Amino acid sequence: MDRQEAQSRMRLDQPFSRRTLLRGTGAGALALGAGGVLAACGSGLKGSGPSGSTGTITIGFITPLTGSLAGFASGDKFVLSQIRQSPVYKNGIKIGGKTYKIAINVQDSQSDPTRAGQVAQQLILNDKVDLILTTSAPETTNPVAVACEKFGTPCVSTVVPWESWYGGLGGNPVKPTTKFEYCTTFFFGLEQFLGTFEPMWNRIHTNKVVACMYPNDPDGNAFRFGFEPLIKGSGYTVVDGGAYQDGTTDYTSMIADFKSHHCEVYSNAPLPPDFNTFWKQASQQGFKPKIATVAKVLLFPSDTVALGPLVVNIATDSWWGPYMPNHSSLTGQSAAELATAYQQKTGNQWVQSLGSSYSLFEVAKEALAAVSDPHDKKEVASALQTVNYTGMCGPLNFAAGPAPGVAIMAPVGVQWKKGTGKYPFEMKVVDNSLNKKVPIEAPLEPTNA
Amino acid sequence: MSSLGPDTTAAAGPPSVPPAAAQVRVTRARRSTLAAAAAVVLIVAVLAYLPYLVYSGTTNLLVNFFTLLIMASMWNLLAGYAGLVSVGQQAFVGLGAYGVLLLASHGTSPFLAIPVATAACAVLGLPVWWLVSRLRSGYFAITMWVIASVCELIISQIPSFGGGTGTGLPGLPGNPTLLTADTYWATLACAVLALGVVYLLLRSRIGLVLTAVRDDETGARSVGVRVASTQRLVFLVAAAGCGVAGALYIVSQQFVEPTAAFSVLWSAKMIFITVIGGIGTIEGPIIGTIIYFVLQQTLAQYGTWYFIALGLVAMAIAIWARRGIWGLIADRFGIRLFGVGYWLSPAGPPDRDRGSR
Repeated sequence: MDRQEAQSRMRLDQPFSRRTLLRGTGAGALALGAGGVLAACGSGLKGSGPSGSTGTITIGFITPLTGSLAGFASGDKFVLSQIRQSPVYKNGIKIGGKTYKIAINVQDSQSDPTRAGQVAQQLILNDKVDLILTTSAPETTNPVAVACEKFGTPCVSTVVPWESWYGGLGGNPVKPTTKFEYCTTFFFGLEQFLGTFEPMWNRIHTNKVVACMYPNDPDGNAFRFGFEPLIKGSGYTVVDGGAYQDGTTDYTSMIADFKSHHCEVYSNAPLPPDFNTFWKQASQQGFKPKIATVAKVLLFPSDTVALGPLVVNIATDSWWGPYMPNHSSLTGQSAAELATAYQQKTGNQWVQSLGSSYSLFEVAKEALAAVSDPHDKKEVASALQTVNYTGMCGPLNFAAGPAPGVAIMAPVGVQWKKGTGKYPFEMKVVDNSLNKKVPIEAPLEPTNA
Repeated sequence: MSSLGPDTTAAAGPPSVPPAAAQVRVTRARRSTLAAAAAVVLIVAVLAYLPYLVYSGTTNLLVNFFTLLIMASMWNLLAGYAGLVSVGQQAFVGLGAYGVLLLASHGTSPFLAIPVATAACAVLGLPVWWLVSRLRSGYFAITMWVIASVCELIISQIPSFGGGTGTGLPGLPGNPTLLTADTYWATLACAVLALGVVYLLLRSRIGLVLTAVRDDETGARSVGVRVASTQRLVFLVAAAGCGVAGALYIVSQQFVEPTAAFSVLWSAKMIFITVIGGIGTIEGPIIGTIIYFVLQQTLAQYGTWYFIALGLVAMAIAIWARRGIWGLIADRFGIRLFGVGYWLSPAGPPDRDRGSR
């Protein structure tokens, strides 16, 4: 009885009996062993299988249709409808005497890097796409590019500073010698940001002290380590507000820091909601820089809603707009016509990402037209590296960029002005230092007089 | 006393057998349970052989499936059995991912790093448990979330981990075919192991304690059940489980950034899957993961409508089927695939009776 009692008490105290533990260990060892045997005979693996239908070229398009980056993709459905009506995408492309149909498979990244990587892998392995196009911020483009490089599928990215893209793939933007076999990008970089912003700073009389609000994220770090040295190099003083976390809701200490250093110029690269919070608090707490040049925010009309009149005379960069003297290489349509068609069809104000998303498909066509077999991913990838054409985003030369596979666009400086027509605020060109072909539309005015 | 081995069919009831023992049969397994055990062995065998049968597109999808299944099972163990509702399990997902990154950047194979990172998460779970063990319900949930955010902030300050920019995972095999197959096998093995641990845990005496805690924590405490130490064990198991899911996540993505690894979306997915599948059952998270995946694969292309559909499903389940889809099935047909409960039936023919747990 005593023994039985002792036994049962022991069993109450011990979660597992020794026998259960041994049995579990045995089963685990067996499972591991079986795994080892399976792994050893890797030759019979099925792999990703044959590529899809040989008469059709499949293009994957990954864009954040939903989530926090959805503003970037607001014009993408319209762009797709335009692209699908263009002769090449409607009737097929002739390569080596054979006409291939082109299918476009659109996937939503949900503004989630994890989802972006997953849909990229699915497009490559399941849908057997020949080429992937992706757009809108490193959160979308970088996981996609990593998957493309790993699984050997040609990829074109845009709307990501090339340094953020290059660094995300594991390259060093300061010494850009690494060539990625499958991935290319077209956009601009920190040098073009400075080339757009500095002339505007110079035209406003300031004490040359720049308040820098860069978060600890891919874009923020690219600005911190790449842009601040450039600012200093051009004779300005930098006051870094610190590597704050995305989603911060109280900027009091940063604003106090900027005020105590008497910053009269303001530069940033935050997430749009964070800028809204910051700018409202700055206005309440009396931080009123003479000129504010923002990056990554206020790129689209929808961003202006939250701040209302506070956006007037904030300056930013513009890589595309109806004022660009560019024409589609697919249809000959002009930038102004594309913007007007968008406004008529959707009733919404034009967005800059119309042009960049449009050009993704132009670049794809240029590369496909230069190969002998569109299903040969290595051949398509190497054709992408040398694409050199002029289209909706102006001249793009992938062979002559600051890093291999990078083509640079020429942005202009714009300011948000009170709208004269249907829309409350409009983007107007105020500085064309980098792209003289674009006409000036309005005078540059101080953000806070 | 009989052992608690998996095939015991005879009486293995609680220590104090009720006086009515003569009229009542207590069993752990039924025909449906035994059939399920056989089916599980068969399914695992087929799944293990899958990379030889299907193309890597399918196995790649299953990697995501099993990773979510592991996470949901762990959340179910925490919330459904130990009464610990956490919205901060992404802390361990992220730590597992960065654990693999740390080891891989020092030359370890990422696949060998998976078990090490998992164990590290269990160890890190101890100080975390010390912090949160005295908190209950909402306080526990929010503190876990805070801890996850603290982990994210710390990781994003470390330049060798890529800071807030994120970084690729070095040391993976270059051959895509081998890489997807290896990733798949690693994920399958971890999922089987995780579900096996949950199953054995619930079959053991701990399971009895957990079932008591699940049904009434105060009641369990008042009859002398050691609630605290049991909850600690479950918390550490769930920490390791979420850690292994994070480790598998970085291996399958080959890229990690703190905002994605420590995203609260992980917790949202775990909760959604467990709630629609059926909380407090082993089968629930499996059914839930299947439903979530079917919804994702069929509806994700519709953008915003997909999220609206997810919300409607969650609301419908919360209102009309509070024990989830598996609750409906189990009640309707009286089946249970994993024999972790006890069936009480009048002495005589045992089958087709509704059991009580």
